[in-house]
Amino acid sequence: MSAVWLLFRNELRLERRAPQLVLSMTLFAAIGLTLLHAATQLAHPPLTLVVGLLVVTLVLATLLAAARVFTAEREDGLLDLLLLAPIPRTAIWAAKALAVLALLIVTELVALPLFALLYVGSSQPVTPSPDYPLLALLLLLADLGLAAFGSVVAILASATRSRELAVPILFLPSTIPLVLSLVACVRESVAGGSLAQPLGSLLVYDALVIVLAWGVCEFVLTE
Amino acid sequence: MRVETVALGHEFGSTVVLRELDLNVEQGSSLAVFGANGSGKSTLLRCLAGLLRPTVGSARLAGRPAHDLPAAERARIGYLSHRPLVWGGLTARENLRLCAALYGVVSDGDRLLARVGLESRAEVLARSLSQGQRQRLAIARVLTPSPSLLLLDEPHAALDEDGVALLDAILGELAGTVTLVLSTHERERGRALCATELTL
Amino acid sequence: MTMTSDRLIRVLCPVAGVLLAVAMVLIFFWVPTDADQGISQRIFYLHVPVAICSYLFLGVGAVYAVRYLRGRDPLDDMRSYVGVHAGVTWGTLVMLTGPIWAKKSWGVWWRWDDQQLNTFLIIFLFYCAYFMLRFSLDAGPRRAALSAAYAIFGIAMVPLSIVAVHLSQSLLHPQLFDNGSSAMEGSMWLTFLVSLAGVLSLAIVLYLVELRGKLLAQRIDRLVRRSRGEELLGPA
Repeated sequence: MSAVWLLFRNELRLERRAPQLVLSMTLFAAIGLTLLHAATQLAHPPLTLVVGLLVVTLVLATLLAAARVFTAEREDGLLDLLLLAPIPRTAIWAAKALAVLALLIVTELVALPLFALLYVGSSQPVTPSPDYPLLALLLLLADLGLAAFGSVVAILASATRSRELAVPILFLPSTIPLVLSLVACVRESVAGGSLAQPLGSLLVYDALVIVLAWGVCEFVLTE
Repeated sequence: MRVETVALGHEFGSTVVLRELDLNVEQGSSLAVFGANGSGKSTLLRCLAGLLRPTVGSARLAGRPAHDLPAAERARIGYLSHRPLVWGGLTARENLRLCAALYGVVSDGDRLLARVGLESRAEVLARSLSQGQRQRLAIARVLTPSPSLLLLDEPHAALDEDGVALLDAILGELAGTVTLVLSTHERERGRALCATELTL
Repeated sequence: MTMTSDRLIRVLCPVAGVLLAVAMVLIFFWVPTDADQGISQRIFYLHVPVAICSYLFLGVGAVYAVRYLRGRDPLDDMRSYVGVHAGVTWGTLVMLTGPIWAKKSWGVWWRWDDQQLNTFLIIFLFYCAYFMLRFSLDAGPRRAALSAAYAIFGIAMVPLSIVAVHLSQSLLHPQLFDNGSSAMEGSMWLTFLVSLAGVLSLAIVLYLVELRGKLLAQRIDRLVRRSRGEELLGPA
């Protein structure tokens, strides 16, 4: 069985037994969506704004994962165990990235229906209504980039003296092109325009981040 | 697996912990490393395990740089730190099963758990075990892939009397077949277990 | 390396001085005023070279970051760090001159729908975080490796910026380079190139001076520690 799959299954098992992260992230998404509505208070808000708020909520939820997902490896010394094992070092990063991806997908399984409830089915619904299949696809593409870079940031931040401060500062600037591209996709979709360019930008982002993360992870894992 | 260092030195920031260290441990032989706290015992073992790249000099295992060993060679190293290095959220049996899977060996967890006296605790989460029990689990973990080199960093520290005797018995069984580098504060025990000694 | 950089500093210093002086004369007294944007357009002759320098030195930082990860030479780590530092410093100037130009051209200090400005802001923020990472780690190989990895990620944000400019539908960023009909006269091109050469020469001088300064500071630190009887590994 491949090392990535072994370690990823282990992550799922650990999270299933003590579901701290998944509960925190889903609850955070719910709180975030509510809080952002309180901050905007628009009757019939534009779809692009609300989707942007949804994505930002998920980006911030990823911070929770990035702050915690590498804790055991650093604090309990389990990273030594994994580095000594006869597995590719990239498998350590890949398993973490897949775990963060899974967490994000579960978070969205809660966040999207909540989004539909609060912003589409409400007395002051967004205009126009979202294209849910497109929205789900865009969020999945965003999740790939968030999970890939979020895991790298988790590794970087876990080595610093101030992990809680480091995670948001290191992670958030890189998410801006992702959010820009995703909202541009929604904007073009609403306007009936071509999605090729913003979608292409999103795909290029994901591909670059994944390739680079794969390339540098061994260097950031070892001393 | 032969262990050697050539002019090995390491510093953390501006603090030098190891300096100009040359050692040579032949395959199947054993070395006890003594020294006060902060003398560099753990740093030496981490350099030998390839977990730390030395600042100057080199650490070599079977003639190859320790920090750059291919995966197949890494599989031959058994490393025990003073932290147990077990997954707290997994049971004792699951820890050994995962370790076996990572090392590509058939899991012999039940036998190893019995060997270290944890057969009745096989289904207990590792974080619910006492510190001494976690250390016993770590010993079982280290033995899972049948290593040819054991790097043990103060392994007796968390063990009770029975645990200490157990570990000494295991090391006695492996003597001559496995290369051993053992760091310890207890000089008598170190000399009893190892053929040569080094004081940092 | 030291002798080469010494020579380079001695040659480039006067070259930079002359080129920048000539550039100032050309900008303020020779080049014609742009028909569309008026006199405010002249900031372009400084703003764009400064932006190019910023990107260039971030690239230098990334190149030496890759070299460090491959060879683990502490000198490459220092070169990378100074490159990123230079890139961010020039980037600060971009962030100062850009809004001034925007105000004069568009009547507002900032446009959120302009991809070029916004992607530069993203890169600038990303690299500011580089220093936060670096200063929260103790000096040594771990800091060098993590900083290098982050610098490499940062430079990936630059092609994203370039892609964004090409993808952008907006023609709002003042367009002065045109593949079709020429938007810049020959005199404007000449002024731009002289200014670019001057700013680039100055940037290289400052980079080399900072690098030498940091290496000297390191050497002095080691000598002081050795004179205090502290133990050191490696040469003085």
